Amino acid sequence: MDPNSYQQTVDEIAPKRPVLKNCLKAFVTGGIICSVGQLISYVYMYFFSFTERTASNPTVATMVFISMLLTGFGIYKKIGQFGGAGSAVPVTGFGNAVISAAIEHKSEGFILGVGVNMFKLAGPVIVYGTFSAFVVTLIKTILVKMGVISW
Amino acid sequence: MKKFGLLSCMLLLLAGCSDEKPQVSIYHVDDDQEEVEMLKEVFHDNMKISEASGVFFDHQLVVSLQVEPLSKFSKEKIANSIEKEVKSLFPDHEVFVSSDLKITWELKKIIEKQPTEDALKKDLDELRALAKENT
Repeated sequence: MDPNSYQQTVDEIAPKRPVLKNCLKAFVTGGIICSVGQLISYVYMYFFSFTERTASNPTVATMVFISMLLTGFGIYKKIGQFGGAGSAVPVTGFGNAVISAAIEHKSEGFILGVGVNMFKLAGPVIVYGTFSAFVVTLIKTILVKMGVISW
Repeated sequence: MKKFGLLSCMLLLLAGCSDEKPQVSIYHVDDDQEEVEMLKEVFHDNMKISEASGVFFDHQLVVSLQVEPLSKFSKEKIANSIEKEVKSLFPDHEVFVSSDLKITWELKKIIEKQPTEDALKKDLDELRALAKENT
């Protein structure tokens, strides 16, 4: 059986993915997560002395912390099964990736299990996040120096 | 249920089409209505602004504004153009313009309280320090 006909058979037998339905579910889940984030940033602005610009840092930290707790209690798994990318793309997905890897490798010990594997999934996020932030800042610095945009 | 959903969606969409003038609230310590009206005029003609507040105090003018949702991307630009306009209108005032939501909330609180001069000076200094905070 050549690869093409094999792929054809797979396509025929495999159940069709409800792409539109999945997109809609991801949209709603991601939207709800972002609304909660917006609400938290309003709380930080209203009750503490954070401005619109500075409130984003504690909001991100809080969202990650909440998702870590939800992952520990097994609730984020259910949200992920329903929302798919809608729950993985926001920053809460980062918290989930860290804690789920930690839980999975707990049986291998705290150092060689949890410590080594905790950032197995989240590590690339940190590496490429830092690298892309560096590239974007470099481009922005050049554009600011050239007078195209302002900070 | 479907009809109800459709109706609420349409109402929500149409609510965005309302053509309301910006809500402007201004407090002048010396109650100079001429200056208040001059500042109000700046906001009334601007369709991109949804809300504006201002406080006049001892040749100082603190203004905060909120822009319409679709203009949020050019918030800084709108704030800068308003700042220029206000500075040209009140050349003898030290003008400070912010488009931050927190500054708008705090300024509205000040306007509601209508504090005495000493308290107002303290409040406005705190507000400026807050706006400068970058961390």
